[in-house]
Amino acid sequence: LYARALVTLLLALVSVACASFRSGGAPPTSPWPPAPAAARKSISMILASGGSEVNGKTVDTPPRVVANWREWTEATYRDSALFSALVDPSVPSDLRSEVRVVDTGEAKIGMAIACGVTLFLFPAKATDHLTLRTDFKNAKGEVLATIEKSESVNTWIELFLVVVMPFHWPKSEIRDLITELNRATLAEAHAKGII
Amino acid sequence: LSVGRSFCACVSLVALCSGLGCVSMPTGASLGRAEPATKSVPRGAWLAPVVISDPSARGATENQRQLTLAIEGYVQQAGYFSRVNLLPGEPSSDEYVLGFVFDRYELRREIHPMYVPLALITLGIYIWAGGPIYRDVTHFSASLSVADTSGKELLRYADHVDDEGNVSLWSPRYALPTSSAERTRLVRSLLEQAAYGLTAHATQ
Repeated sequence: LYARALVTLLLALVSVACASFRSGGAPPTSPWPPAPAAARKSISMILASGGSEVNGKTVDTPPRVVANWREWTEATYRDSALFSALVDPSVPSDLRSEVRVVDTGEAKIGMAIACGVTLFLFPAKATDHLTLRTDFKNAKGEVLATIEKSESVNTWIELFLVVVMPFHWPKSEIRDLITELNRATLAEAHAKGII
Repeated sequence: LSVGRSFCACVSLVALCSGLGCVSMPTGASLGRAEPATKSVPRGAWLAPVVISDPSARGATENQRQLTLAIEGYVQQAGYFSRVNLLPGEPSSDEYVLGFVFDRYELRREIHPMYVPLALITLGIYIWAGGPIYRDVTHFSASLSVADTSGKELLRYADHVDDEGNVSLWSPRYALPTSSAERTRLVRSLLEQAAYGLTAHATQ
């Protein structure tokens, strides 16, 4: 009985096929990484949710989601080789970047119910519109530049998407999106001579 | 990706265990939209890293960072000070240093006492009709200290927000529990007190 229950549960879990697709937006940042400046500065980066909404209702952004955004952003800053060091926000630095990610989501509730009731034969869809707003400041707290970049991701849930899912895993798509928005931000700040 | 992944989780849960109701998420750190300050202080302020000292708070380290930036944004948008920045930095001598400490930081989800008996008696109609399934209980308690740049404490305020509300299958909070409104209320209350206190302090 337990084995049957376990197999049923596993089959049910496997059948939950989600796949995400970026909306396209801006072309990939090129060249990447940009040519570094002659004198590189140290920077500290702090990131938080700038607010999340689902169908107009404010919700908490789960801390682990924000932690992922921060890790991907830190990786992009390191990868850029534009800074002499990326230091902890508690340590003084030449520059500070304050990154706020606003996630405005739309979920089709009717489709979700139909999807659940038909055991994923009927598709369901949700859209995340992510805006990355970065304030670059100097040690005196003066704002040097504010740069905003945004793009959307559509997430579909449907039984047969299980074959597409490995190539459009939601977490991978959003990692690529956050990385690209950060690259575009850093490239623009670099072009303006801020970093 | 909060909405997409949570949406996946929501649909899965509706399909697999809507009768059980087993969603639980840790407390976040975001704040709601800032309302304009009723009193503004014509000086700058620097915000020290926020401390969550509640030993039972999940993800306190991550939340402290996020809350620090969230409060900075809130103070800026509401206009409590002429400008606001994060420490470490180089404050000028006439600016203030703000320090928030949260000694209680809790969002707890309980099964509503009527859920199990009424769901069984009505063969699940209770759930689909929007009967309460959970009860979300929030407890936030915090203090705000205002010091000058030499470190001398000028003012200190403490406040708390305790709230609870029912959650049904159709509530927005069902799959995405939130305590943003309660947190925002507490932060705003402390800032309002500090703004009035500093204005009175300046006129003495």
